[in-house]
Amino acid sequence: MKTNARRSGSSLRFGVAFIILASVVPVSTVLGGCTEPLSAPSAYSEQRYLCDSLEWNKLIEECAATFARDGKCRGHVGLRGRLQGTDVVVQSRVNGVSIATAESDGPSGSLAGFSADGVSPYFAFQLEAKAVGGSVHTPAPEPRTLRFRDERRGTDQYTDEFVELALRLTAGGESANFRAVSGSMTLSVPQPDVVRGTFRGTFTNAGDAEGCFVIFFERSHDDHHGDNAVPANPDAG
Amino acid sequence: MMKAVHRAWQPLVLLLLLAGTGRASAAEPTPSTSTPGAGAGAGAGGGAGGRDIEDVELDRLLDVKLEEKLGTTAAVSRRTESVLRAPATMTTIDADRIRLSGATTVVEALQWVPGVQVLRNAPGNWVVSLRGVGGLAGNDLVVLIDGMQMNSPLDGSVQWDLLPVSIADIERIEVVRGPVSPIYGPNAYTGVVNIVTRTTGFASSSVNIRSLAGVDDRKNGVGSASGRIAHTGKKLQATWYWSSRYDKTNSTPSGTGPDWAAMGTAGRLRYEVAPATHVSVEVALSRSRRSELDHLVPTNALQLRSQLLALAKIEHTGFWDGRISVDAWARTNVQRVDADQSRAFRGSFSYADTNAMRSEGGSDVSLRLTGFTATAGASMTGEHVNARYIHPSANDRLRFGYGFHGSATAMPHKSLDISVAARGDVPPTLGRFAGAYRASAVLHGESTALRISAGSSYRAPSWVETAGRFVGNGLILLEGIPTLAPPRNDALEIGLVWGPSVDLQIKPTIYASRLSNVMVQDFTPLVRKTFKNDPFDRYVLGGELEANWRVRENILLEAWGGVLGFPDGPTQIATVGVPSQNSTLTGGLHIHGTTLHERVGFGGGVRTFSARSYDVRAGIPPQIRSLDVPDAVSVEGMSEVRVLKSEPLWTSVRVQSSLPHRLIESPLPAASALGTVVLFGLEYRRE
Repeated sequence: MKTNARRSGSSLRFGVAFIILASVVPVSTVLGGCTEPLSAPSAYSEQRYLCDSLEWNKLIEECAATFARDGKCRGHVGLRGRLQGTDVVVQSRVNGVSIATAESDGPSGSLAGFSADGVSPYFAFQLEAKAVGGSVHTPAPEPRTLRFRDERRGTDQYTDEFVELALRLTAGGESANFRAVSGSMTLSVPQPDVVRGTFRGTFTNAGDAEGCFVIFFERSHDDHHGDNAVPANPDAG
Repeated sequence: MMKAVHRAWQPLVLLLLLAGTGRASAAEPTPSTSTPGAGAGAGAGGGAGGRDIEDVELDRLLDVKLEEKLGTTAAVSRRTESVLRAPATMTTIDADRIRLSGATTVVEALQWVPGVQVLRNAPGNWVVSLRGVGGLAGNDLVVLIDGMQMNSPLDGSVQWDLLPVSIADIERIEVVRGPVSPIYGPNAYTGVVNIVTRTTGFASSSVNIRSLAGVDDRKNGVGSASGRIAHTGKKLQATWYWSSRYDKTNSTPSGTGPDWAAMGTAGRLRYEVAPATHVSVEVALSRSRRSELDHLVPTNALQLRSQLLALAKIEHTGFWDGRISVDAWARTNVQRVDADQSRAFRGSFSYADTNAMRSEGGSDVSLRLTGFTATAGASMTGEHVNARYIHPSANDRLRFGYGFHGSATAMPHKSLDISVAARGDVPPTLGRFAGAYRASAVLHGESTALRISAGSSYRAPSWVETAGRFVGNGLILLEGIPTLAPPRNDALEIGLVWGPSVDLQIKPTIYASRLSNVMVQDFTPLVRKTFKNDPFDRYVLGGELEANWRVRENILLEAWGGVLGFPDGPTQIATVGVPSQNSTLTGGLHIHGTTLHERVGFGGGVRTFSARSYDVRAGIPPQIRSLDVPDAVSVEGMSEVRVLKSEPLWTSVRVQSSLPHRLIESPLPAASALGTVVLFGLEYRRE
């Protein structure tokens, strides 16, 4: 009898221990509130779109000073929009520049096109403008607004008020080329070695985006005089 | 032990038979073996496999009912129940079958189960999936060894090379197919593989030591050594396992691919603290070096993986005259990945320096009344991952989850069981509630059981899918999304278990599954490659058939087949957790047995699978990989002989061959090719 009673008491103690374990563990977890959803934000959330901010001018001033000193800063590009179903924000320093001018248009030439290379957290990109319509002399401090040409609608390629803008993205061996089909770009050449502009438009197979850029270039080094990938507009000037 | 009991009763039974009263029956199923507490998810019971071949004649004499013959299992509901009446499709590979199949790894044994698909990437590197759902990540099923969960805390994948014990030390492998998340939690999306290791009985000690050596047709070698020592005292039962293996057979088509070297050890203690109260502690350590090749690393770089598994459990079965049992358990899985820089070709990404840990604790209460059983419990999970490819916001942080579950089986009629199970979890990587449910009805007679069951399971998105950030050349090439919905598997199945005679059992099953929120890698947008839930549901229809026929007293013939199809056809290129969208037909025939007074054992069989095509995305950055696998046949055979009458020393020879030779099953680049392997073994087996 004594043995049975001892066994019964032992069983009770184990039972109480189990019940405590069964209830305390999950309840403490819930009360602890430590099961909130995982946080792993996109790297785009760490990017800031500076085109509309005062910081943009400061950034450009610093870049200009660096460019003047050692040529290491070639400009900045800001971009935001919804591309391929993803909200994209990019603020990138320009890594490479290519400029095309039409030499026939005076001693300093007229801007025919340009391209600027940059990187986002997810892709490298090239912003490329071709067939800049009308005359954008270098320098041409007054901004000029040009519409994007939609080839599908048969717009005359050489009409003055148009420009071709493309965004070429590459990542992990893949690339994609998005061409602006509606919208516009405002372009100026405030100094002989600076191109500045903003754009807003719809890109084929991608979505809507807007952005701004400032490019510093060395005429002797970066200017391809329209013979290297960026054709000049024969109507220019 | 059962064998001994049977032998003791044999004269009495014969006497009764002579007296014309030789019928015996049992109202309740009798466990054919009793395996002590394997922890959560494993459990007591044993299938038909625990039975000795000699028992068959006695079964005939006793007119044993099918239910008794099939024995019991705890793999389906995590409480002991009759295999015949279990509410899910289950196949048991018992110790005899394992030994006489010639399989030297668990995966090789699983290849003989209908509904199981195996992709062999490289030596020691496999992807196992159930019922066509698995993709290349291999994280859609739960694998338990004595209740310790093998799935990687990082991505839920199963590192089959890290099994700490030899296949020869496994008592049985129970493969439950269909959604079992209501029982096992988030990752039992398509099923569970429950491995129960061998212990000795409660009466004696045993020593088992063995070695294997072999060569393939390209003169690459394989060798292994393993063993088990078990001792049982009055209150303490202790078992120690160890295993080691080197394997370079069936590597790349040229035969120059990576090798596999592994070692593991495990210890298991069970102590009777008080009557009906037991404490179990299990610890397993394993280390393996093999090809890293998988859906994210499509190279044969060598990696080193280390794993620590541990389980502690206390159980008491003595409340209310044994009607109520309670247990509390805690288990952990810690994995580390290193790279073998000296021999590896380095790709753009590797798992090197990954540390991942999952620790769980919980308790369960079970009630067993006449005609009604129920279990309820709660659990808590903590996960911690530290890896270079995890988002800084989530890396190196401990996250918690918790869950509640309940299940019940009622027997409203002596021939009808109705079971329901439900489970709600907040998995650590999900951070919000997800539920799983199952309901089934089993109509059973003396030699037949018809089962209808419906269930809904899900898989918790992995750390890679929710918080991965894979960087190459300064760019993020693949990134996880925390807001992913868990992939879900809703299935309906009808199964029959029919035993027209004591020597024959036939088990056909048909099922239909709807896979929703399937996880795919969203590689179309170049602006951010990530994972997403496929908005389109996929459907899988399939059927399985198993037939076991005891041809003679000591010879068993097994036949099985499986077919599955995707009525919708291909939708989106398969990646993680996505079926390959190939209708496949598989089948096998195996015969095994003993002769010459059990001094000679033999087994042999053939299995086949139909042609299939793979178009999958793999690697970082992702590339489409295509492979057409032709119709293929695998032939395997083994024979063992006891060389000394006085000592239990056995020699064996095994042959495994794939036709066509140089068959590549995996769509990953530089995957290994199958050929012919011949192995010789020596074993000292004192049970």
